[in-house]
Amino acid sequence: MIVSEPRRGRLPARVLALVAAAAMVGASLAVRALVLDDDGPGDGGGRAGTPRLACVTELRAVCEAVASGDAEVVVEPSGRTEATLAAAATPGDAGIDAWLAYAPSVGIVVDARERAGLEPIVEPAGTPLARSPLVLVARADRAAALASWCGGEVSWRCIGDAAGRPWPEVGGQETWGRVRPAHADPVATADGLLALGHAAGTFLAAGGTGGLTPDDVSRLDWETSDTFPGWFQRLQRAIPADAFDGGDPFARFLQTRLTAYDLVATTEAAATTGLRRAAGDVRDAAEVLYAAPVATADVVLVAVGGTDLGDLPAAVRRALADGGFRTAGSSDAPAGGAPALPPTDGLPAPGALGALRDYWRGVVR
Amino acid sequence: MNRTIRTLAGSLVLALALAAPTACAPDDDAGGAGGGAGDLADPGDCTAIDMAVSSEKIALLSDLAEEFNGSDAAELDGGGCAFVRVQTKASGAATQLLAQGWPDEDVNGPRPVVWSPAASSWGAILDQRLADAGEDPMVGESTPFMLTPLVIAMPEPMADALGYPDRPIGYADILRLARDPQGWAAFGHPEWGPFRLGKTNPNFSTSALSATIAQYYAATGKTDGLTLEDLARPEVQEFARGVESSVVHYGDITMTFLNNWFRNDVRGTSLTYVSAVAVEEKSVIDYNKGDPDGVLAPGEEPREPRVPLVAVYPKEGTLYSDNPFIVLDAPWVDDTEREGARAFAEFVQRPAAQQRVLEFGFRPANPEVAIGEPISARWGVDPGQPETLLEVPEPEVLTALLDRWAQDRKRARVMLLLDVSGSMGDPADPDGDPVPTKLDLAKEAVVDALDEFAPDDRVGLRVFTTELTGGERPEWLDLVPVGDLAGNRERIVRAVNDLVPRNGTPLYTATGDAFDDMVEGFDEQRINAIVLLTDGRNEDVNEDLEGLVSRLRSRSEGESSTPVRVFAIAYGGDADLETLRRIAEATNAQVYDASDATTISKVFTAVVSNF
Repeated sequence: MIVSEPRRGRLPARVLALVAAAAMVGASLAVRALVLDDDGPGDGGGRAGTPRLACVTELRAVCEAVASGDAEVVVEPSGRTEATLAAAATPGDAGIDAWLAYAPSVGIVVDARERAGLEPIVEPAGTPLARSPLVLVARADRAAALASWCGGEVSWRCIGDAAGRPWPEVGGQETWGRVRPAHADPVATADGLLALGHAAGTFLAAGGTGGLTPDDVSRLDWETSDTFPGWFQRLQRAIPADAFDGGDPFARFLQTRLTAYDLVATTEAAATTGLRRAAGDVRDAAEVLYAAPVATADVVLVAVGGTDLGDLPAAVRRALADGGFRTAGSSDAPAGGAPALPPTDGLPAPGALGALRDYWRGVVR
Repeated sequence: MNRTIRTLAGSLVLALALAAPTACAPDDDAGGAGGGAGDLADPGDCTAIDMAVSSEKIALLSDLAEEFNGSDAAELDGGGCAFVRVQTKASGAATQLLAQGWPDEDVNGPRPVVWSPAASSWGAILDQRLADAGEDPMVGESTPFMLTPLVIAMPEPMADALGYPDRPIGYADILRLARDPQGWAAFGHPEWGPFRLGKTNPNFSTSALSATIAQYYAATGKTDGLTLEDLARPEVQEFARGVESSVVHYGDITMTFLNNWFRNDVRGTSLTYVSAVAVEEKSVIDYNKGDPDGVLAPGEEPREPRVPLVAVYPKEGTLYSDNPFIVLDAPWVDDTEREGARAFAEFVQRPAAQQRVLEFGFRPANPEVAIGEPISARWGVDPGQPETLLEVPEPEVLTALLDRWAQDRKRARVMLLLDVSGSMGDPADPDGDPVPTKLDLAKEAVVDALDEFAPDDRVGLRVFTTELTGGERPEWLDLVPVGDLAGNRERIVRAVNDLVPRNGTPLYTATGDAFDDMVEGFDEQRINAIVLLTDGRNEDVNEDLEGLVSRLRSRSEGESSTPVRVFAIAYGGDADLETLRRIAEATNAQVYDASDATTISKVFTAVVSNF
């Protein structure tokens, strides 16, 4: 059984479900192992004896692949699970036994509980089950113009500089309008939070004087920067408002045949899966860009309150691989010139991401 | 303002307040028109999944529901099955009903589990209205079902004259042309006369609202970030007034223009009726296929026009109608219904179903399905367009934009021509009480409709019946000569309230004379029109309908025409709808069917939306 939060403007669930179907049979056995662990410490609040696995919305297809008739899977926005786990007095109060999420979200929960003086109920994210570079999908003609304007290598810093300008100023056509990048809402979605961290981290690291990397970026950097506020405001205000409606702007981008935005942030996994299934007219007109420096979405499966997850991680890993994520043993760059994975996720630390999210609220709202 | 709720919602809240449902023609995007449940199929042992959908997709969704019902896709996880029933309900009307909790199912049809308005903006409006009332949102899971962009439809020779598509055309270009006193002569075609723009009323029509947004963007030179300050700039207002001055007339549905355009095409006069109309891309395809309103009437065979239309995709960008498929989070929707709705939502996203979307001229929302026929140059549209989209302004800007439009719109010069024959004293409901009479309801509708005019619109009142005394002719009597409403309003109200049913129905003489008088005082700065309301058939010694139609048409066609539009209302079950249709269409206007006399107030409001 899968319990879903309302979807708004998403890719048809069917599209995602089909991607995951191949992984379903093998994975169901692992879920059954989890189900059998009735006496585990999780007591996640599912149906009698049925633990609950919470999945971030972006990983819906993976969860659907590992769900069985005996498992209760909850698909909900990352922020909602974060809030639940951050506030739960005991593991039982969380109502879930395991969480499939991006690593920074887990870090945010761990930080929040520490600050609140609460006992940990999830371990800090360890080695990810799978990773996927953060990418931008653009119409090919826009991608070419932007790459040229950026000096050959597209970065978020350069995208922010171009954002909102008439395309002719960036080497494009008058009929393209203004440069409209997009990423998802960083409060409501995990993808949005990662894109926000990628963008801000890139700018702040590049603007630093001490060999700063995006991983090192902290609140102090944007609070003391003279240039970041203007750059960040320019970028965010160039993003069409519907990107922040809580839905998936990449799905909207595909639905509108690449017209809703000029380039949109997503993961490599979502991009390759979505474009592979898309009709030729959409696929052929799109190009995937790896903004430099490359950052990644690292997927982790964490137990709540020490629940024994049995073989579930292996099943999830397989489903992630089928869904286009890079997993151990398949981490080499895929064909087509995609970059190799960096050693870290290339994003600011979870605490800094949380603070960036608050900063974003102030700029956009 | 929270940018995350920036939608068309803000303005359309106001639009809803202004828009009253009509009960007449099919609507693509009108905020008003109602629609009914019709005969609902028996779901048998299955769970009924009732849908309310805007009319342009009723045929498609009815077909898909038929395929779904009884199929494996309709089987539910816990046993049982779903049975989808589709009823048409215009977007604005459905929004109002949902905000009210969908009262009176006998009249309005069953409460829907799934709602599919023309655009997502209606969903935002609904939730905003519910929030304003302190109630929970109702728009749950939502997936675009099919898309169609707003385009500028233009006869092919005119697009050629402007150099399209080699030379991209924007709203600003179109609107500059609309304001050019030389008109088409500036492009070597004086025979086409002035540039005439077709626009519907943005208080009623989603496509008109989108076009008005684009217009104000064009006036500012922006493609996003329209502000209240922009709207207040004198040059922006001047630009808007200039554009509106070229408008032929307004109205609640784009089909009026398309049908009239097609009839003119048959007569070889399409190039002088209207030069460009803001419509959905789908409408261009339908027109070029010979089905201008997208609905083939019995006996109507599609016939391609002599002069096809071209869809001009504005270079500044445009807006989409996305036809969302919304599973309602309404108190009357239970889990089983929700599951059934999801099953149908999944079904309509299947490639086979999305191919059907294409057949109807829409773009599939499922990106797995390639855009193909009929979205092709063969039918005047370009699958590679649009290149970009305009940003929907913030709600308060949209609201202000509509207020601004009300001030900038072209003013009207209108004669209300009312039938006061004896039959107007018959009961409005022939099977009901003797009161109210048809005249009672008509009087109420006329007085209410005065609120929709601006104080500087010019409005007058003439009545007609036989054996009248005290006027120029025994067939009609001017009770209030056409003049500024500010000065005429109270006189009209008093005169209307004093009306009583009289004698016969000299329809032809009254119509012809009214037309001649309005032509004589023609004001090119205004929309010149007659609102003709009658419940009967011609009873005059003058029986020359052909002569009347010829007379009306002769002044309505050509590059130097002085068009006075006759919007006719066929009132009550005995009205001569076909004759009124000929009269209206001879002037490139529209007939409205109020055969159910109790709908007259709604119909009258729809008629007045033309001004």
